[in-house]
Amino acid sequence: MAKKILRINMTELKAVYEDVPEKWSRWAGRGLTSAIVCDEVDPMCHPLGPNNKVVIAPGWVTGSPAAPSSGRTSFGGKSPLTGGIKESNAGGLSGQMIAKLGLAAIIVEGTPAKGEWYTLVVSKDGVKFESAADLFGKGMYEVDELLWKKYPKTAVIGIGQAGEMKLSNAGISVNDPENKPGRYAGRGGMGAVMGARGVKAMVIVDAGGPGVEIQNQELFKQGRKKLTESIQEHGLTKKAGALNSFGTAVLVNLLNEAGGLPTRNFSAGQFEGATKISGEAIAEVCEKRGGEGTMGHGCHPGCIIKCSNIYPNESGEAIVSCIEYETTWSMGANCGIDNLDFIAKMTRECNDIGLDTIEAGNTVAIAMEGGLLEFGDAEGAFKTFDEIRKGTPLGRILGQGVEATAKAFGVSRVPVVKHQSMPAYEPRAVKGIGVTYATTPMGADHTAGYTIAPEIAGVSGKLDPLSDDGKAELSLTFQAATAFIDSSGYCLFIAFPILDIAKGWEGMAESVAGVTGLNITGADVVPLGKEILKMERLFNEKAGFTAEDDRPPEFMREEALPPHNVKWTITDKQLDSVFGWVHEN
Amino acid sequence: MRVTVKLFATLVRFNEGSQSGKPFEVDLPDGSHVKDLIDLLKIPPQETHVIFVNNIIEEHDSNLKDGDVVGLFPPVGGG
Repeated sequence: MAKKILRINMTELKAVYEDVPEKWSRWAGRGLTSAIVCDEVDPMCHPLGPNNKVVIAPGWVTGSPAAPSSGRTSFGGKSPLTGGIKESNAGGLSGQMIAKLGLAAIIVEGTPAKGEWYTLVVSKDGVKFESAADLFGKGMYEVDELLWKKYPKTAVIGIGQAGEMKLSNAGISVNDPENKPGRYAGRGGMGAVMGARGVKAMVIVDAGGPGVEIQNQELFKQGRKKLTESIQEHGLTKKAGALNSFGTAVLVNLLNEAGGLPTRNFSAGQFEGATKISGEAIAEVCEKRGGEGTMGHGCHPGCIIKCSNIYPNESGEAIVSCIEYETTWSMGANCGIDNLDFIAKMTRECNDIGLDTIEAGNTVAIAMEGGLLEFGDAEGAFKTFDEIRKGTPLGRILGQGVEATAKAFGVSRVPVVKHQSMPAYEPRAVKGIGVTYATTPMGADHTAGYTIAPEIAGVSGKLDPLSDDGKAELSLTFQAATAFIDSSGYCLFIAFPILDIAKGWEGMAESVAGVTGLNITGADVVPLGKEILKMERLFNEKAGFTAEDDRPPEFMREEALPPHNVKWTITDKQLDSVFGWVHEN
Repeated sequence: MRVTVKLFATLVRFNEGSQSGKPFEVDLPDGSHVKDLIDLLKIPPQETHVIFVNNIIEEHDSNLKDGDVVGLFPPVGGG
């Protein structure tokens, strides 16, 4: 059965199934959300107005039998944070279930009568529009629990209070196998776009769905085998390897050694408390406290990397799943906080209220620089989240993210590109990732082109992180490959093994070709990724972006970053070369 | 010469009683290279995937001098 588009109109409270038009038929995941947004969303529309949409798409292989670590769901629209196109993807249960319903994408459009909130129950029989009056005002922990009482073992997509208030830092939550929120399409405020559609939650019931059709079983199996083997062989992704044992936060010490761990609102590249907030420290707490605490947790069924964790309190009860590298950094090093228990509690607040943890931690750091509280004040930092939950005037400012908060507090060291704040790698100390932050259509985003792999981690070769040479080309190649992986439904972490092990790269492409019937080989990965990037860049141009928006913030050219005492030195011309090809024939 | 060493993640097991990132001192003959230090610590060279000397990424054949701070990592990454 050919896949369908499910179009949900919130003005009329009607849903229709449509055939996938030819122009979108090649795409899935990020490629599809971006193609639909480019065709259907006016680039000049207000992100919270009636003409923006939430487009949800599983990847090419998501939901196919035993494709390893392939449970991603892409969420696309125009971002209230950046004002440009946004694709933010998450793990959790939703991708596989949407795919099993035979859906290529769900498009949510229109606006219900003022004050009405809905839960959309999506099943093989269509869409039920249930009132969400009983869920309104509640955090995502309670929403997930209440919806599972009525619809057990389903995927729950939802927004917390931040999304209801349409704050620019509102993310979209997806539940994990334990039905906890925390798998977030966090970046760029897509939770506010969902809130603007009057949708508090979506329940995906996959029972009785047609499943994912495999066009070429033999090719699919061959590709899956190669990819699985490469994941199991690579030191980073294998069982008991770094990601499985210590989670993504294993990077804390690595970036700290490299002098590229942004500290106290990007004023230094090393944090004296780094070891206390590292993946090794998280693993030690899980081991010591036991109970529900664990490393090696999977965010969706079928993951063979399992980089997640469940962080316990002193009694062994779960505080939150999970503490990621980005989170322990943004709320730790970047706020001068070295207390993991507080970092866990703040992460839980973000997951409950529905906030992106990168932007949230960076916002607290800005508030610290602006004098609202002191760097290192863990208790004070924790309390700021309740301001957001309650929607106090202060909370509404903080919930808008770094740039709005910097204006409110008169701070000029503002680590943003395209209005989105930077993740946990200092561009002055790791130049390639700075090129990605500056030029990706998404606003400052490490996942858009993870040059850290060769610059710091020694994956896919070794390059000097402090050198400017070749970083424009490097970033473009990584951005293109990433756009492809973001469309596949595979977790981005398969990039580590497939960049080092040739059969993994081939296997990824072959498994995609096997599922879809498209004629794709490893050689098509970068060209297809560039097609997606081109769509996204053109949307942004129509939304008013120019070359001036592809620049790191001024302070990075002015202030030398310790310990290497380096400034941002890549020229504007080099930055402009990254996407110069978009307007060539 | 005397260098300060920090072992991270799974490499901690090569220095009994140590903790990830906790510095300790090692004496080496003058003229030693990073690989000599790794041999002395009985770490299989292929397990030392990223090597820092004074916060700069170096290789197995890089020279060491008195007072250097060496950080050794297995394959690590994330995002």
